Amino acid sequence: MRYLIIGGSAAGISTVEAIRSVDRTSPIELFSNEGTPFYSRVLLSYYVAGAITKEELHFRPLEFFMENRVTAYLGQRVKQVLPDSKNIRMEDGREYPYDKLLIATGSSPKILDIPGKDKKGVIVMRYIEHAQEIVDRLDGIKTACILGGGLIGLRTGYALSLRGVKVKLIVKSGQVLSQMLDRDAAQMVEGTMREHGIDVRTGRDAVEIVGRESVEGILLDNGERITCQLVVIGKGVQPNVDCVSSTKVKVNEGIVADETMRTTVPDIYVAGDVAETYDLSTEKMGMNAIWPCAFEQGRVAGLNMAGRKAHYNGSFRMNSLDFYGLLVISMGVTRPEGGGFEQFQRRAKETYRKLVLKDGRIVGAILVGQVQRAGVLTTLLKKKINVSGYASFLMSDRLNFADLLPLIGKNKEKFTEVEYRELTRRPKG
Amino acid sequence: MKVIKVDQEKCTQCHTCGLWCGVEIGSVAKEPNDAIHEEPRPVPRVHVDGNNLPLHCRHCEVAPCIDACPNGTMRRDPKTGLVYVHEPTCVACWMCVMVCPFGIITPSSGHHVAVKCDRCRNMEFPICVDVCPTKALILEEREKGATWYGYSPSRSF
Repeated sequence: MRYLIIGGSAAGISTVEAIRSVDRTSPIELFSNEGTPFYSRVLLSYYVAGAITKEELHFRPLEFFMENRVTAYLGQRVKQVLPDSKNIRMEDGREYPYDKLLIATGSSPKILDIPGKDKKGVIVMRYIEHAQEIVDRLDGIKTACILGGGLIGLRTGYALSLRGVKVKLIVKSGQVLSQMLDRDAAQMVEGTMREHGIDVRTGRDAVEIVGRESVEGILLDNGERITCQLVVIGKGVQPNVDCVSSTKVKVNEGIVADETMRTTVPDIYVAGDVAETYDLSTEKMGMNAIWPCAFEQGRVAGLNMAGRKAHYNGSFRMNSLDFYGLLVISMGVTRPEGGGFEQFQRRAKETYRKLVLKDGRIVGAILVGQVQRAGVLTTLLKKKINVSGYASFLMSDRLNFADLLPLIGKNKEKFTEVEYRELTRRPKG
Repeated sequence: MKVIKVDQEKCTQCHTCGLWCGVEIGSVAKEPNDAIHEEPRPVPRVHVDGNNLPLHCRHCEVAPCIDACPNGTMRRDPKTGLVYVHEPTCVACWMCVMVCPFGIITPSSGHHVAVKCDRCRNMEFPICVDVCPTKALILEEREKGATWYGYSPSRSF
């Protein structure tokens, strides 16, 4: 068996670990267009903030490939997958054959098409080179403008403000983090950022980036000009699907995965940001480009590639953030549209909680301020448990696992893992 | 792999487990009289949840916290299968808090690292099991056939 993996971040590495847990000897070849392996994209803003070193970005040790007997081709781009001949073709024309292929090509930042976007000092935050560029130029940056109110933009802005840079956050929509939070939660985040000197401008868009060769400022849609030395673009990501163009591998927005993380073509699997999977919260196919999903999908793909039967129930969007000590966790559908939803909200001075139910099941939640035991909600969402009658308990600070044991007993068929069985049985003693 | 099992019928909610875990594992002083005055406050790794369920890390076979951890801070001991926090690399991103099914991972007092039970993997015997006056906590072998999965540095495949 010859395994071939395209992509060396979360999904690719998780797949390697899964394959090696079953098959210790077959050759694994891994291709990554990045020269630096094993760094955690999620933590790049922590590096920009100076909170961690470059070494602390590593999610696996550098010996990983050697220990797992992986032949790694780093800094080399795969141009095309050739399903008919079961080969991949590189940019320089070289071809490599596979028996089982994983596509974990990830996603790329969406390009912002405004005049001046190619000037020096305009950066999208995606790769380690981008973070390094910001760190290298820190001395010359007094003011930075972040275009986009998504998580990457906010995290980068937060990091820069910790470095003493004056940060202006330009958000086109009426609130920050519109994918993650409702208005109430977003206002708390915006309030905290403003308190710490970040200038948050919602409902505003940049129309031009000005300067000669380098950035000197931006022009807003209300005619205002802001002087800055750095522009960070955070307008979201799009899946890297080019390598399967003109093949029978089905692509909607991303590469469509089935319940085994296989694509529509035999022996070709997919995982991570590039995969389009069943979304447990929306009950539709969708993209959930987040780290935990990439790891879980990689494991399922890897086990199936290696001949085990592993099932992927589906993904849902979730994220956690911590700005100046304000902890926020959000999951699933938080701003439901259309009928059939039940919503519960509780706002106190420093905390906020929201729960969104559909047909008695949790499909979304937001926790601000107090995030302890958020994972209990995550698990109930993931396992599609009917929580009718528990809503006020789940909304309260009393939320705990023990008081849910009756519910778990009622849904035994969904809590089959040994860790749950152990807790619902009396030990022999 | 041995795990801590709970006999709810024997638990009297005395919280002795949490008290001693906070002293032995959570505190710097390791003496109750000093530990109660310590700042930041020591965090116990076991809590009596609800009425009578002392809850620790369950060391899930497939641990969501290991999946979610963005830099390999959450990992398994390759010899025992126990899940632990490699504190020096924890960046306090709370991804693990977001996914722990049992809600047992908590931010430390200073919010600098994630804190959770590692079943006293470096000690001879878990302190909570040792001190439980009614023997509601028992160290027992996990059932046969159970396996585990997830990042364990230098696990030899």
